[in-house]
Amino acid sequence: MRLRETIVIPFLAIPWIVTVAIGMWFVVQRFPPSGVFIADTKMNGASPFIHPFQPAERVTVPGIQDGGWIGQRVLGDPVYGSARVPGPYQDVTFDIEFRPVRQTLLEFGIARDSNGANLDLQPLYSKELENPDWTAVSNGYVKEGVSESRLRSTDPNGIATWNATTSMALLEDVGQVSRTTHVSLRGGHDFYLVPVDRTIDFTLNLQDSNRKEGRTVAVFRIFRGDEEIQTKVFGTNASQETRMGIVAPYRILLKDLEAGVYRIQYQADDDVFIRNIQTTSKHWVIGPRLNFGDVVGYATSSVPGIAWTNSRHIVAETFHIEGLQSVELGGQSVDVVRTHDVFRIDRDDTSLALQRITAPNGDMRIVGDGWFALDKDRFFQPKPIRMTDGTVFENENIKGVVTPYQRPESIGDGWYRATVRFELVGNEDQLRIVLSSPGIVSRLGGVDIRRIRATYTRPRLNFSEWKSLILQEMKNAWHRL
Amino acid sequence: MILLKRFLFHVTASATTLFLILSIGEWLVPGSVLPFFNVVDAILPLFGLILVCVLICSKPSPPEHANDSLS
Repeated sequence: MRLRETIVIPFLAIPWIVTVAIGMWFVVQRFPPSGVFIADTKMNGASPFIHPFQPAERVTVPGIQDGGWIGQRVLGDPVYGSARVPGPYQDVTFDIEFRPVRQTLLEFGIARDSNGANLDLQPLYSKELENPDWTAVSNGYVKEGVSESRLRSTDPNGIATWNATTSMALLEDVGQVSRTTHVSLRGGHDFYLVPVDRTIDFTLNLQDSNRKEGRTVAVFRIFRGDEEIQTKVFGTNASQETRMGIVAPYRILLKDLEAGVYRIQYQADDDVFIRNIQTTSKHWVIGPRLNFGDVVGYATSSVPGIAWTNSRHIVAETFHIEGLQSVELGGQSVDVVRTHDVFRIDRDDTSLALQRITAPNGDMRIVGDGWFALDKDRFFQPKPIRMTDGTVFENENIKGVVTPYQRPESIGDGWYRATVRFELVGNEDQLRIVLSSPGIVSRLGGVDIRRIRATYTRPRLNFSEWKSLILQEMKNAWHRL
Repeated sequence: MILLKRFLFHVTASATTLFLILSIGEWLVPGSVLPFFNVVDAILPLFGLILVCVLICSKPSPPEHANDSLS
């Protein structure tokens, strides 16, 4: 009888032992004591942790592709995928195997907000920097024969940046003379200024078009280099009005300033127009975005958008039929023939002189790799130009690039393996991943992706820490209910 | 035979418990179970298992030591 019991009880316990083991397996998968969780996908759509890129019109169907390889081909820009975060982790490292096809520049990143407006992009691939004449140094790349210290210099000429910041030039002017520039700019802009007599006196005359109800808020953030020194918030004059508001001045007066480059970041939606700008600064520019607005409700005749720029590559886009026109940059032009579509100009000259950019009808959003001055004599270069997909170092006399970019490892047959790392902030359940391949459509290019491996990491935990983590996660789950 | 019935009962009970734990886990922490195993797929087999268990285990079976009791 005793023998029977000693056999029966363990026998009946088997299903419960299996249940506990399976339950523990799930807990360990969710909270690995090692602190490392790896999700791997061949981009065939089978991974529960990394989902293929979308939208469908910019990518091929994941799986077997023409040529027999398995993965997904990217044909448009940008494309978005998603990665399921398998628990509480501090950072994630993506190892990506890719093959660029007629594509000169790639960036990979994650969206830091739900609507994808705040992207954290990192350099993934540059065809120009694959050239063996360029040497990797601690903070970027220099051309053969150029010293590493050139990248630390405050002289921005001949230097480009790619997802990096550089030392600020200590600039100042003397002799204040106020000058008004008449212009019609729409929405937020970044203004770079050099102080005059240790002062910045900058007035924007703003007009709210009241196209939506309520007051519109405009924010001015002021930076010296990359350090924010002041923030001001204004409500524009709109209240219950539905008519065009009055033109009201907003003045920023900063005194006793140190030498340097100051940036006034003006944030407002596209309902707010800048009708003129008054400043004592002898040197000030706008960039990299310049949005010429219309003058409907303000003036009877259209105001052409004219600026001077050192940009070699621009993209132009309009959102209104009235904005369809031919945009000129130096001796080149592009016909903007559709709304909500970008049209680009890439200068092929080697001139270092400023070029005039003209949008005869206004109503045009322009983004360049350099800066824009509304008066030619006000131009200065606050920082090195941005490296873009169209940048050709030889033509543009670029000797160095400040960037955190690490050359990807070549794994043969045109394939590369690159590694990018991101910190995880907050308790994200899903990461929205982004692959940016600027200009891919215009050059009929593509990017083949055959593998993405995501390694989530946090510090290794001992048993009591691991237990605390699980308890904390249970509390979080309870609070989420 | 009784032992097998008891075993089936315990298998069914433990599978149901596991199903409930995993379902609650997925409900409390979305994404913790689903990537490995879709609990919805387990509903039908579990229902079948419970049905079989009810049919088999609810039938009264003759006492194991009937002869002993008669004597």
